[in-house]
Amino acid sequence: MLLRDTRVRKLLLLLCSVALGAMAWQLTAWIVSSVRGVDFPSPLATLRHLCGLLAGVGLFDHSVYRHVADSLWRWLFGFVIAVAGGVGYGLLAGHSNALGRLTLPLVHALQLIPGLAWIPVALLLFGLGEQSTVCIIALTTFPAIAISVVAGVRQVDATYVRAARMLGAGKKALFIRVLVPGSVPHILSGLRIGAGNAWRVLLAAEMVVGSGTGLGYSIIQARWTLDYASAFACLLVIVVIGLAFEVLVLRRVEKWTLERWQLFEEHRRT
Amino acid sequence: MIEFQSVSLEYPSNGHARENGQLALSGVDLAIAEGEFVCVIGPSGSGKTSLLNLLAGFLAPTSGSVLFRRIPVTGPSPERAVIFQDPTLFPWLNVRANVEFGLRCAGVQPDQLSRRTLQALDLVGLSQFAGAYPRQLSGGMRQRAALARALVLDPSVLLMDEPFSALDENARERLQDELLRIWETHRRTTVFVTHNIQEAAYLADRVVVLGPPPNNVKGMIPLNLPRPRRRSPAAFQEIVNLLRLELDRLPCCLPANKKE
Repeated sequence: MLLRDTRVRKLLLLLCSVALGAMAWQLTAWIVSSVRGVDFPSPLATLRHLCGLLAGVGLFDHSVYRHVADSLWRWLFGFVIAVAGGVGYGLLAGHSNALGRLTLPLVHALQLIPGLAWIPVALLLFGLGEQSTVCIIALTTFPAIAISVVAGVRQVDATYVRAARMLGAGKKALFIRVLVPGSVPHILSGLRIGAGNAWRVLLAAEMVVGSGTGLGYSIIQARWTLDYASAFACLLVIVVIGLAFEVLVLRRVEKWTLERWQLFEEHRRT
Repeated sequence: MIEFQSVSLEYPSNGHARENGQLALSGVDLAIAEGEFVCVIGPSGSGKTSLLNLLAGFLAPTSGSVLFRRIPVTGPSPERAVIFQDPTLFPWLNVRANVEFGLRCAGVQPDQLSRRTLQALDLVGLSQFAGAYPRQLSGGMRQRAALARALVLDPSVLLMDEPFSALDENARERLQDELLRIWETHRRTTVFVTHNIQEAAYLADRVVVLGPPPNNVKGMIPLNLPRPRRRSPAAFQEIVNLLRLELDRLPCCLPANKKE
């Protein structure tokens, strides 16, 4: 009973915060419409428009599903490349002092470059289109992941390393069976940061690189064709996808890591 | 079986060239026979853990040599198993996988692997908790699992660094009894560091009293109490008092070694 009560309360709270956001939005729409005399899509109008899109009304030559699918696909592609590179590099650089010292400053330098600043580089490398978008995503996401993984390997408790060596672990076993699993919490937090970075830079990149499809592309197209309702609808879709990812993937992963790796924290405190 | 020959150990200073390193051990001569149960006691900072770390091969002596079966110790090895104060079980592995860790490193065949693992878990009374993760266990159970993880490798020496000091009284005494039970069957050479006088009196064949350098070994007390011992009789109390007297002669509060 109690559990259900707290659930109900949580749901109510969520609804209230959604209502609050909608009210702020509505207020903005009214003020902008009356002061500037332009048509600022209200929450309700946006929702109606979104329903139309979801029901199959085309958006710049494609269905909204196609745009979402293309965006997600690019995101996944760029993200996977960044993860493969970032985790692989991070494990090695965290393990080998020489490699870390030599290359880590470069990775830190990469991290200073904002995503869209890669556009000229990506265009030179791949020209307009798909690969450029993926390249930008990978380039912006890689450093965040790599740096987390390096930190993860380096923070693995020295007592675990001692215990493993005492149990007969050679260099390879030490790396694979202690350093890698020991840095999983950091790796996952790196992936979490990376996933968010990738998603944001993807939408921005689609606006510029001329991908022809995608949510970012749709938003910027809507801006040129003054179809603001569509742009707002796309924004809603982006928020919903982000929230879904947070609830369906990130929270579960986080719960699992906490359950399994909690001992780390206890260890620190004692 | 184990020999310290005029061993000294100096921890490097933290990068300050002018500062001298911190001397943890000096002039340590010590021989431990096969099958002996030796307890090492002394105030904190007297180099107990340093002594054990040298023997485990985690540290190398600054001068002198540490011999195991007449061969200098150059690094850690499963034949010299260590039980740490903190159980240091790998939190991402369950109890069974923790115990299997060393066997897998040694490339033991799968059928042998599970047989030996179950045997070791049985020995410490953890058979029912094979699937549990370390965080689900009490402190005493974690230390049992750590013991199983070491014993499964059938080490020649058990090196124990205040293994029961973080446990409550009851769990500590139970584990002491289990340790003795296991020791009685194999007579495995054991070096047991503790700051607990009763513990030393209850467990040891011989007690080594450490103090601050130079010449850390301040006393060597053979205990001729018959086994199995009980914790209450007068003879036992006498030993406890004797050890207490030995310790009281040493300064109580030494600076802790920074890098143990």
